[in-house]
Parts: sequence; C-alpha cells; structure tokens
Amino acid sequence: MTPDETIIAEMTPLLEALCEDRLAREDAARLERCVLTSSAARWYYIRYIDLHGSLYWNAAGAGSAEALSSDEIPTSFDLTPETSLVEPAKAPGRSIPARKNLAIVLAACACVMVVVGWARFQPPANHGEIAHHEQPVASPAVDVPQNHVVTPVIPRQFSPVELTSTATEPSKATPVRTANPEVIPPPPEPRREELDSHEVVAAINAEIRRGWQTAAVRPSPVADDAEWFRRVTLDLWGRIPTLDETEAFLANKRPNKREETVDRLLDDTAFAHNLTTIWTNVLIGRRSGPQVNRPALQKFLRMSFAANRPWNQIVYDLVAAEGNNVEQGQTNFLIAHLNNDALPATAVTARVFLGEQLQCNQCHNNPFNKTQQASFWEMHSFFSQTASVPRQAVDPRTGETRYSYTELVTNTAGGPSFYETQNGVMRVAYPQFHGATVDASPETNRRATLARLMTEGDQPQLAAAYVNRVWEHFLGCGFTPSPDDLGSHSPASHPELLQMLSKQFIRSGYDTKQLMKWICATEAYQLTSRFGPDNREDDPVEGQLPYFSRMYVKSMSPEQFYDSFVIATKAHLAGGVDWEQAETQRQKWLAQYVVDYNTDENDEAMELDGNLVQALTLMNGKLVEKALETSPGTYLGEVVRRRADDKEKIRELCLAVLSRPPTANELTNMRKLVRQDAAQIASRGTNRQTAEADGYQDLFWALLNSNEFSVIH
Amino acid sequence: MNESEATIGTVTTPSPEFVQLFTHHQRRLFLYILSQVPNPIEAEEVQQETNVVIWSKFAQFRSGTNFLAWVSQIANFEVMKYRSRKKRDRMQFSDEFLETVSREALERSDELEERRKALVECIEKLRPRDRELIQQRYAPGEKGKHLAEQIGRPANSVYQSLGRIRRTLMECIQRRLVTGGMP
Repeated sequence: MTPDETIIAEMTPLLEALCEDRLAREDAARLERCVLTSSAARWYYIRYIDLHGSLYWNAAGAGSAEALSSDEIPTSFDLTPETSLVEPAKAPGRSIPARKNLAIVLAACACVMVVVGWARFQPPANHGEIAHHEQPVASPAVDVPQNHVVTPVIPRQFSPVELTSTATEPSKATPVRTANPEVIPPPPEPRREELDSHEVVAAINAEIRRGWQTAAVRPSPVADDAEWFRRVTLDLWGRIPTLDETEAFLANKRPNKREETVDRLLDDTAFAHNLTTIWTNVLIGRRSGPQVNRPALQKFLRMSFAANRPWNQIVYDLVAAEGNNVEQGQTNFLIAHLNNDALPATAVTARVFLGEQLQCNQCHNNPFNKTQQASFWEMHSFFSQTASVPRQAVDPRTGETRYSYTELVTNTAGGPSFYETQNGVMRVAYPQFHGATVDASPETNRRATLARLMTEGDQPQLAAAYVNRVWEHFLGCGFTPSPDDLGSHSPASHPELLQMLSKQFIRSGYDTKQLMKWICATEAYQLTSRFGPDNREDDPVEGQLPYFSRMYVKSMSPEQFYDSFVIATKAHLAGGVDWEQAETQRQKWLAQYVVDYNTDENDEAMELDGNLVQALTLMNGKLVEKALETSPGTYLGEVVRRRADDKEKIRELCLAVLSRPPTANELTNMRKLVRQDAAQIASRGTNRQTAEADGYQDLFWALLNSNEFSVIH
Repeated sequence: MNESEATIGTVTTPSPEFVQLFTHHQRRLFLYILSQVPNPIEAEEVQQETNVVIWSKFAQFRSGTNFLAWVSQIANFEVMKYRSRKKRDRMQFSDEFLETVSREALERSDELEERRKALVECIEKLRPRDRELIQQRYAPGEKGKHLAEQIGRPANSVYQSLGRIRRTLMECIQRRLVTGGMP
C-alpha cells in the first residue's frame, strides 16, 4: 500500500463512524491528524462528507433518483424564478421537499418583506391587512416544518438474511424466561500445588537478566526503602503510605522487611478494596447506567479478593451470572454490556479475560493474525439468550414495592447469530469457542456453557491474560504493549517468561495473592525508577520492547490520586467517615472527569490521567482549598502551631506528601523559602504568626502539586 | 443601486436573478457547511441562519461575481458563531482543520458538483436491497439506530452495511468520473 492508501484505510472506519454520529473524541483527533497531514486524506474527507450530505439532501427531496436531478444547477438562467420555484409543488402526490420548501418560504418571505416595507409608508388604516401577512415573516426563515415531508413508503418487512430454508429465524420476541435454565455447575475448585516461591522468583529473574544481556543494558540500582515502600503501598493498597506507616518502615531494621511488608499489605482489607476499585473499572468502567448496581458488583469483588478465590472461579461467576443484581452482584458485569445487542458483552469478555481483541473481527477478518470475523460472531452467539429485565421487589405481606432491581435472565432463544461480511454477504454463526461447538438448541444454557469452557482446568490463555495484566500493574508495562491484547500480531517482550509464569499461576490454583508475592519479590520490582546512561534506551514509552531494567514511572489513576491526597492531607482523620460514605464522596469527585462513549466496546475516556488537566484541577480545586486550611483541627494547622523547630515541621510535611525525608539540600532550600515567604507576607502588615502559617501553606501546596507526588515511581 | 436590486416604491428588493442564484445554491451551500459541521441536522441549522443573513445582505452582492464565494464567507462566519455557542457539548475539530477543509471544498466545488451528478446514477446501480437500506437510513426523521430496530437487525450490522454501501458509492462515482460518465 502506498502511504496515501494506508492513510485512507485508516480514515475509512473513522468517517463511517462520523457519519453515524458515533465517533469517539480521540478518533476525531485521529481523523483530524490524517486530514491535516496529507492532501489525499483531505480530499477524501471532503468527498466522503459530500457523499453523506448529498444522500441526506437528496433523500429529503424524495425517495427516487429522478427527483434529484431537478435540483441541479441549470447551466444558464433559462428558468424564471417563478417556474423554478413552483415546479416541484406541482408534482402530484408528492410533497414539497424540506429544503426546497425553505427556499420557497424565503422567496415568499421576500414578497412579504416588500409588502411590509411598502406598508410602512402607507396610512395606518391598512394595518389590519398587513398583520395578516406579518405572522409568517418571523418564523418561516428559521423554522421549516419537517412534517410537511411525507416519508417515502418503503416496505418495512424485508428479509435481511439470505438463508437456506432449514435455518431458524432469530427470535426478536420478548424474552421468554425458561422455568429452569439448564444448570451448569461451576468448574471444580482448582488444585493448589505447593510451589517453591524462591524457585519461581529465581526463574523470573533469570529470564529478565537474559533480556538485559541480549540488549546490553545495565539495570538501575535497587530503590531505597522510601521509594520502594511508597511504590508497593500504592500498588497494593492504591494509596500512598501514611506518615506513621512510612516512619515505621524506615525505622524497621529486619533483613527481610520487604517480603514481610508485602505479606502484611496483602492480608489487609485495603488490598481487597484496591483490587475492587481496579476491577470495577476494568469490568464496567467508571460510569455505568442506572440498570447497573455498582456497589453490588463491588461487594462481590471485595468478598472474592478478600477470600483470595481462584481467578478462574471469579471469571466463571462473572460470565455465568444469573438473577437479581442486588443479591447477585456479579450479574452487573454483563448487565452493563447488554446494550447494542450485547455486542459489548462479547467484545469485553474476550478482551478482558482472554486478551483477545475480537471487536475488530466484528466487521472484518484480521489481516495480521488468523482470527476471523466468524470468531467474533461465534462468541457473540453465546450471549444471544441473555437479557436483563427491570423488576421490583415486593413485600409479600404489605404488597408494597421495596426496591427496584435488574434481573439477568437466560431465555429460550435458539439458533445462530447473523452478520454481514465486507462484501455484503450475510453469514450465519453458531456458538463455538476455541474449537468446541455447542448445541444451538433452545434448551442449551449457552452462556453458562461458555463460562465453563473458558475456565475449566488448565486455561493458558485465561491465565496469560491475567498474568500480563498483573505484571503491568506492578512493573508499569506489560509483556505486550496493551494488557488487553495478546494476539499474535503483538508479540510479547518475554514470551517464555509469560508462558512460564502463566503455567505456575495455573499450578498455584489461579492464586492471585501468590502471583503478586512472586512479582513483588522479583529483582526487577526492587529497582529504582532513576536510570543511567546504560539503560536510557530501555523506555517502552518510546515504542521499545521493555527490558524491565528500571522501574517505569506509572501515572496514578484518578482513584489513587484522590485517595493519596486524602492520606497526605490527613483529611480522613478529620471526618471519621465510613467506607461507603468515602466511596460516595470519591465517586462524586471522579464523575466530573469521565466522558463515556456508547460504542460497541463501551469505551470511556478519563480526562484525569496525570496530565495538565489533572495538575490544574488540583492546583485550583476545592480539594486543595480544604487541605490548605490552617484553622485549628486541620492537619496543616496542627503542624504549624506545634512547638517544634522549622526543620522538624518541614521534614514532616515532606514525609507526609512525598513519603520520604527531604535531602539536606532540599531542607536548606525549603527553610529559606518558608522564611522568605513569611517575611514577605509580614512586610505587608500581616501579623507574624499568620505570615508564618502562610509560608507553610505555600510549601504544602508546592509539595502536593509536585510531579513526585502525582506519579508512582 | 446595482443589478441585484429592484425597486418597488422606495424599498429595494432582491432581483429575480438573485433569487434564482440563491435558490440554486442551496444544496452547494448546505454541502459546503457540512464539510465543517459534519452532522447534517446541525449543518442545516447553520444553513438556515446563513440564509437569513444572505437575505438581509442581498444588496451587497455584486452581480457577475462569484455567488458561492460570497455566501461561503457568510457561512464561515455563521459556522464560527455556531461553534462558539456549542463549544462545550460536543467534540469539535480545530479551526485550522476547518480552514483547510473549507478552502479546498470551495476551490473544488465544481468537481464536487460533478460527483453529485454521478451519485444519482450510482444510486440506481445499487443492488435493490442496498438501495432500500440507504434510502431508509437517510429518510427524513430516520436515524441509524431506529432503523436497526425497525428492520430487526443488530445496530452494528446495520452500521457495517451502511459503511459498505457508502464505500461502494464512492467507488462507483470515481469510476464514472474517470470514464466520463460512460457506464
């Protein structure tokens, strides 16, 4: 393909989405880039939009092609305005097209204007007659009534499917609830093998070192305690450590304190909360519709992670879920994705649990690997019996409605899915997963069957997708550029390591905590994020394959950012709020920044991702305003008023926000700044105490807005 | 007074020639605006506002000059006004983008007009099923989504089909222009 052809191939789906009003924001930006970089692309854009507009314009004229030509520009002025305007109206049985109508109205309007203009010079006696004409003057130019247009009569009943007579028609009727959908039990509890952790970690280290040697990079040194402790707390608990936690860790002299810390962090409820936050976002996004019960899903996840349930069983529950979404929290995952004919359910299930990017296969075969369009629709077929029904729980004694909920049900639809290939041929897909074909009769509970097929026994792909995602969570970069894509077109940086780790994960009984312990104990996880000349090249952001020769800097998720902010400013101590309340507060704050797209993949964009917007929000937001208060009872107020020397106070603020003591150099500079600041403010007549408080306030503000605070390093 | 005006009493009114130019440029104007505001319903809104302005300024048009060039300037201004009003509620292309695109759309306006003529023939050449679908899609008041419900197909498969039909039409137009209108 020539560069122009490539760019046009890239633009085509974007233009198609644009015409159907479903172009995501970042895709609009991509389209704009294409158009601005190539003149061929620019012309293509104009031609495509022109086609779209012409179709729209012509259709409003009439349903048939002949009528279109009457709208063309005459080569000479052979028509008088009267004939050209009146002609379309004469056509019997066809209404005046909307836009021609507009022109006529405007022309009529001209006549009225003449009348009005002329009327101004007439004696008032004629006003009654003019008022009659005045009415249409104001409105018609702006407001063309659409209902003058008669919708062309097109048969509504045309069959979109060319099928052999034996095939069943897809049932579009109201879902029929089977009395008893076929019950398919969850896969048996996996066997948990006792593995020698030292051996596993050593094997990981050996693979990583092999990579360093091949690429001739030298790893960064080991991170100091403060850097490592802040990192591991953020990774496992989703927030920075408190001042007390940091001081305790720094004072701890035990030789294996890192390992002990990981164990302690994993055993705390804060760990289950953190994984719940992460997985809720992965599963249903940050914003979900009213039919979804977010707290119920979170409760399911929290219980599962707290009990360290095997990952394959959690996945089974999510995919096979059924019933009341308040009591069965796991149902909310699919309830969130049943829009657009459950296409998102198919795409998200394949992507999140299996690392398969099937959504592209919805429309075409994958040119880069062997996945075919059929595989999307075969998978989709498993969701064809699934529906959600709004219901009300009624108190049996009083008959009053107690609450509303959504029920995830399996109906008795049978038969295949239908789809269209790129050249317009209708095809049929029967439920089939990784080679296993499932009986398409109505009695089969397809979704539960799929759940079982995905999770039973040794599932290398299920394991690899999870391992890759967890690895990315800790190391800042997965083995593949996107944790959701393990396709053969996206080769892993360390394929043997990914394979080995997936295998061990399966042997451990899909044990999440065990996997995390291994990763936290690796050599790579101990390294500092600082790099030297010998590993400057190792930078996946630049598109290189990662070598993990240093800790890649991760930007905080908005949730981590919010929770860390609360910890740094000790806002949590002021209110004494419970978890649910805190969660509501947090959701409210986050909601300001989410933009969602109702696409087939249910994507959404977060406007808060460690960038400029985040910085500005923080600098000027309410959250900061509150944190900077120095009145009695606030954290900052308490530090400022404490009887201690300024070195102590500065050290504490630094530890609270950056989770490390200041270096000697920093301390000197910060002292100087606080003093200068205070002196300057005092010189304007403010009393000394207030001026000093203002000095600390500025320091605290600067620390909270520093880069070091808002990233995980 | 110039040729685009006529006089009734002391009041000027657009000349028949102006009215005709105005009427016959409606489609071109709509499509010109659409290149900058790619949603047809919004583009129509802008067009109507532009029309009001064109109508109030007819006296400024010099007969014999390029009518499209004149109205496109008015349209550009109305697009700008529309965009600043709509700033917050939807995605927008940059000013640079609009400038580049609209300049080219105007320069190649005649070429586009040729394509529009070819389109009429290409629609006839579509398979009946495809023609029906595209007509339903663009029928007034219809939208892709309701369309899917009406004909009982998944919304996405309908989007796919529409995209494919538009691509077919693009190719057909290209072929017709190359062969000079010969089939």
